[in-house]
Amino acid sequence: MPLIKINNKELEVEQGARLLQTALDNGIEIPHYCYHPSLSIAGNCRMCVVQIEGMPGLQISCNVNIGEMPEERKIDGKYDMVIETESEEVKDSRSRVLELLLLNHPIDCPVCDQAGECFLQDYSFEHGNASSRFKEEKRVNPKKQLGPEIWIYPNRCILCSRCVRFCDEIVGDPQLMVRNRGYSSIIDVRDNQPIDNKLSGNTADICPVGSLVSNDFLHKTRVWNLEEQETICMDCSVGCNVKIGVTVNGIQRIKPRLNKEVNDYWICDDGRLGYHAADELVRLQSPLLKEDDGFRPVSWKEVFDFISEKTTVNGKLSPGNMEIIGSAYGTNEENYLLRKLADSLSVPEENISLYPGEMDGDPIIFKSGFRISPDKTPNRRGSLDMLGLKSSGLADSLGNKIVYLLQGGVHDLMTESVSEILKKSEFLIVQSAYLSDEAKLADVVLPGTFHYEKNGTMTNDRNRVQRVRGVVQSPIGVKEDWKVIVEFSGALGIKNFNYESVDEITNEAAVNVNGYEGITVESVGSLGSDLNREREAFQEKAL
Amino acid sequence: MEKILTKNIETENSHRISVYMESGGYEAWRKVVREMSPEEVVETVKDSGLRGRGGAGFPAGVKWSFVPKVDKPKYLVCNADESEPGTFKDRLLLENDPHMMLEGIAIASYAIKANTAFVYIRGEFANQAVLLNEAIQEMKEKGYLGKNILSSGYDLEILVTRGAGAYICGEETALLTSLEGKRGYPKIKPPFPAVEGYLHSPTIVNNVETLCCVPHIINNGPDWFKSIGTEKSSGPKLYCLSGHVRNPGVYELPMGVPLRELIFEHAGGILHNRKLKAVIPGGSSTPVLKESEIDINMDFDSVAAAGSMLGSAGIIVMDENTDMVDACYNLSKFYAHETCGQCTPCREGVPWMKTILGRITNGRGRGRDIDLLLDICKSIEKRTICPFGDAAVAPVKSYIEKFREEFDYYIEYKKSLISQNAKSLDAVN
Repeated sequence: MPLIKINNKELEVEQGARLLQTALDNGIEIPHYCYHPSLSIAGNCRMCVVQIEGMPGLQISCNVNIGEMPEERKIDGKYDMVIETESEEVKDSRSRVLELLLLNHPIDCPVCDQAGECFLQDYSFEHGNASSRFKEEKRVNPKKQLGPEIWIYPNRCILCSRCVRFCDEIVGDPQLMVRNRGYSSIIDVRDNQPIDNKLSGNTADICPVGSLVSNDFLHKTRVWNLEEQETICMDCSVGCNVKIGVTVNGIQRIKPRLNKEVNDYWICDDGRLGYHAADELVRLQSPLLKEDDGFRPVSWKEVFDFISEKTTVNGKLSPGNMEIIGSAYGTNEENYLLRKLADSLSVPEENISLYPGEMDGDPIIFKSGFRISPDKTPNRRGSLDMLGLKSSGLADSLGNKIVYLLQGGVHDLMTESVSEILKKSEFLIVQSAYLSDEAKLADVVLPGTFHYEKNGTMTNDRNRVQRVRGVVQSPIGVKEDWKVIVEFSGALGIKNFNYESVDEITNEAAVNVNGYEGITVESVGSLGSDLNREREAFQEKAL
Repeated sequence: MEKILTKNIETENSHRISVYMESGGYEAWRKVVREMSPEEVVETVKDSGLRGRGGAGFPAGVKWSFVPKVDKPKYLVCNADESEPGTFKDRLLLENDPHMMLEGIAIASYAIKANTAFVYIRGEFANQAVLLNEAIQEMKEKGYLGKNILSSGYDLEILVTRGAGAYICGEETALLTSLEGKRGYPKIKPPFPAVEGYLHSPTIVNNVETLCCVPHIINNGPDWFKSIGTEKSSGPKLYCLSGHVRNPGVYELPMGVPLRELIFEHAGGILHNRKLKAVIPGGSSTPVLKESEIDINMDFDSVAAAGSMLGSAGIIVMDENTDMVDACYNLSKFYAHETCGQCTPCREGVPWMKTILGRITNGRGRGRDIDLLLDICKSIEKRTICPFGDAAVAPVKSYIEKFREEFDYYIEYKKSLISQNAKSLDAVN
């Protein structure tokens, strides 16, 4: 392995490693704009220059690959490369490039969404000049909406071409291009067609300055007001890792979080904007009981007393009489508790099912391999595992039964046939964040949580268990779903569900569910953990 | 000197294959394809010391030998995108002796084992492109192109691609991206085109004049070629003389001919018997020489020693009435217009220089402008992807260094040091 020295720091690196990435990985900051680890090398910003012993002038470190040198060419007898990133010459070059990048920049930071997380700001503070020697008229181009999710402010653009390369190399649909030549160069859409691919929002994320900005986040808040929280996206079964920017007013934006195993640096626009699904929802803030003229809000105590009376007191609750329906929108922990409840009541296997049913279709797969699943539930895999089921969907066997349905989702998905089945039940309890179509059929509605309020774990469609963290607070009166299930169990006479936190359930599930051995809150961490097993073999055992 | 590259240009219908063959054309190609191995061809050209005539002066044979032995198609590209201001030698060859170039292309393709060659011809050379396609057709009819050429088992196609008017596409990597059908942006090196060029395959890019020398080297041997010119710059050279000379035009003379002799003997001296003020020796991208600096020989090393470059030997002569500030502004306008805009220093810096020079010539120059210009030069020089940045800097830097007093005068007095009389006289003439 080549041995190199960067600023007196010795490093052993992989043969062929990229110098810039190597430095960054080892905590040595080399300012750069056009370089992105998942895109091809453009070498156009000229910021990442370094001095390499034995090479003339300065080299752009993004285009230097480190290789093993023959013995006689090693420096000091042992180094394959000796690099200086902070020499006077390098610093001078950086400040020159920054001066040029800022010549025509409007310096409109006070109204720019990027301010606060802008590399032009950061590097200017660190390496730039306090005043400009440019006394000429600035180049001015009007802002323009390039697509549903993307605006361009061309005056802020540094033409690093990341967005163009992203469309070419990741999306595989070259919707962006550089128009005009030289000083008049400008990023624009091709053939006047909007950039409407499903990954378009990422172009704003990778824009190192405030040129491409998100339509959704436009002028919403300053980024330093955001509290960024890590969780996963809930809008399909891929489970992209995201960080969610939250203020006291709720979710402000969703951005991708790097996970090489799942989503790389990207998320799709469906996931990015998915949180808006909850915008129009009228949230339930107390349990509801159905009466002749509609629903009546009641307290939690009242509702559980009612359930208790309806089921146990009248002696209606017998194992064959209870149907438990888990949710593919629910966490592993919620579904695990439901299974545990079923087992405690000795509910037969055929009375346990998962809602909603399978969502068929073809995945959308982009050039880079990034995919969007047709299954819009985030946790079908994990829910099936936890409930010990092989497939989803309601069985038409709900007649004359007490049915407990955990709904979870925020999309109206109820089909005619589901409605028919649910209507047959004698006593229907639905747990939902809002008065959904399913809930309208219920005798009792328990308020539930919305995606980004949940805590626990989920398993994506490739068997990766990932952490879900509540990033926003539930409305007053709403309890976490797993707590409701615990209390519901209590109302049915099952009193031994004692959990201090959701993590305890995670750890317990790992012990009791086949295939989840070794899964702990720690092993899942922030990037998830793959299940070590053959899917099919596990399912046989479960059944 | 006996004319070599331009021997046929006076002949009627010199662009026809029959005329070319009467003077011994395609003998070299027949010899190469029948008798020589590609390696022998490369060695012969290496021995001749032929250096690239496009501007950089890199030894052609050495370049050819860089082609790696990989299982990929190889390509030869003839750079006929002649657009350097002050240069018009390739055009002469293209118009009057396209077959000499085509023969050179065929030999070079054979040497690097390419089965496809491209001529990337400047977009404005519309008629020349027609002529060239006719010439290729003639070549095919003679069996010098196509499948199994002269029963040798070697296949070759030559394709003509026209540029779209961008100066930058004369830079070899930009030429290749343009050839690939993309925006004409230079590529970062490494990889070099010889290793990874057109469609990621090994590609050799040679200038028209370079390739035109090749058949003569094959016919007459490397020693004959070395006997012309200087030790390190061998062979004949086409010099393009323009500007304030009596007889502007292309002159074929050996490498290393004295610059003063070129101007005063061959080109007939300065127009209207005025005094010589400055000379650009190698196309507008090369640093200007003052009158006192022109006693040099026109070969790669001598011009470099004088602080300039032989470049494409586009010699632009300027007489005593030339306003150097205006001349500098004129060139910077060209470069500001032609910068491709890919990398930061060139995209932002070159137009900035133009704006400042424009202000100075408008009488709105400021005291610090000159130092600022020189500092901008520093910001661009050697910091760009391709040599365009250096090319754009060379005139500004050398004009200011050598004619500083004119710039200072302009800023102080808001007018040119060169008298208005002289200017109006120029207009009359």
